[in-house]
Amino acid sequence: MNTMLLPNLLDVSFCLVALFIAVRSFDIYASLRQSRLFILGLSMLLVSLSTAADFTASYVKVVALHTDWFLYIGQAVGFLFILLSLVPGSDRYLQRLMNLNVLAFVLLLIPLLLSAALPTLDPTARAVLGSVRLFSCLFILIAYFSAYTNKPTSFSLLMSSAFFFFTVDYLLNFTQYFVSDASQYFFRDVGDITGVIGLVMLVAAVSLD
Amino acid sequence: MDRSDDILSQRNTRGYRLIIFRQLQQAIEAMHRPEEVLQWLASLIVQRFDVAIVQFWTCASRLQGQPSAQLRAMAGQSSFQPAYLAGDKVAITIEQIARGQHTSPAQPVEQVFPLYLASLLQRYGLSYCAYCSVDRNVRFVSGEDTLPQDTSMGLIFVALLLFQRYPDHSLISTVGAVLEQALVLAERHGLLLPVSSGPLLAPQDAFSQEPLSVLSHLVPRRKQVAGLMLSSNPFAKSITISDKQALRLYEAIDGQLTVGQVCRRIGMTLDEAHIAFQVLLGLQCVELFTQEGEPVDADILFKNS
Repeated sequence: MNTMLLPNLLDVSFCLVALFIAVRSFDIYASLRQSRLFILGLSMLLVSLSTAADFTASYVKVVALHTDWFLYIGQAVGFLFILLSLVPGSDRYLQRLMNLNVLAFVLLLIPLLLSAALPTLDPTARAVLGSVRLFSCLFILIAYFSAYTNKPTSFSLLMSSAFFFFTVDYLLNFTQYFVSDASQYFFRDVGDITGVIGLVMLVAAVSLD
Repeated sequence: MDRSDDILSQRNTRGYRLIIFRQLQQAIEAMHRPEEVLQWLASLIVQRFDVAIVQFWTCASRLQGQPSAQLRAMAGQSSFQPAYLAGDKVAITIEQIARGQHTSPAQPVEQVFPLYLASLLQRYGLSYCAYCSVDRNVRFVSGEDTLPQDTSMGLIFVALLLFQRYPDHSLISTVGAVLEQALVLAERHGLLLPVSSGPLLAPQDAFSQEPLSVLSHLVPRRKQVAGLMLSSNPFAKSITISDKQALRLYEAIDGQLTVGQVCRRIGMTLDEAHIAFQVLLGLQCVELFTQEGEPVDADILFKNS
């Protein structure tokens, strides 16, 4: 079996799902002006771009594109902003968060555009950025699970499940660098499968009416 | 699932508040004193929300240099209620609560009351308390007060709730909203009198005028939907504004202009705006305020529609 099949499948599906959520968020934001929707849209656009860049880089052979920087930072920042938007806050807080999100988005285009010039992402940086991404997902999972325990809805249950699988995916992804080479593929593949399950849950959650 | 969960887990808390409001609308016809309204409310909260003891206090809205806290109504699950709960020591705490934050989630009693009082409460199994306060420009009818009252000064109504176990976190906000509605009703029925205030139009006075004329002077503001993305799907059809007139009105709201000014800007009649606001209020994406910035209970404004 092609060893890149699962990671590529995850990249493409993640990219498309995140893009769909981003477009839908901006569409509704245009009429409702709910700041949380804008933050969700921009964060998902960032996540979508980062997975698209990762997928593209694996096929471009002319130059070595080090898109891992953008992939890890982009996803960490994207999830972090989603987490921050879930925190109950005033309109002013959400407005500031929106502005900060726009600024972060623009700044993050720099590592994307400079991906050919950047060095390879070393294991320490990978571990640090991976842990930010992991903990952001974990806290989003806690936020949704807490929302579910306070007011049980199908949406919060599915979102909790989705972020549970993403957290497991990122945890396995994070752990693979600390295990033997033989086990690395197992950790990565199981991680990718949980990631795909998480995506299915996410799609189910946002399709609820 | 216990009784309070059963009530609070209902999808439409706003709908449940409306049910209480309608019940009170009927019950208030037979009431002659504001204490009766508060007593009715206290009994209902104890009965429906699994609260051990509910007290309603009032304090003068401005410091007078003398204690002003008065217990107006009290209800409990058990007929035996500790007598010191109506005492001066609790009144001092209530006075402090009235000058502090408007709402507090449930917290251990020792964080609110002096330690000796907290330990007395704990002996009765009352381990948690929560409170909320509502500041209104009203007064009781002269002669009803045991303490002298400045008739030019409004009152802060404090609801104090004591629990045996940690309650649902949304309970206190529900109680706050129900108390506010009850006070507006009491004002409309003349059980509470407006203070002899300046030229500003209090919201309760405004409701006695023509609804459309009142609406045109109110300032609409867009509201961030609290549960959006956490407990409700932001992409669900129910969240989006499908009504074109409502959407047009919503997009023109800037938080500064009054309804009348917004209508003139987009060429909408007040009748159309009235219908559009019902849609927007149903989606809970707008709030109405007086020009002085006081929130208006839209349920009352649209009750006859």
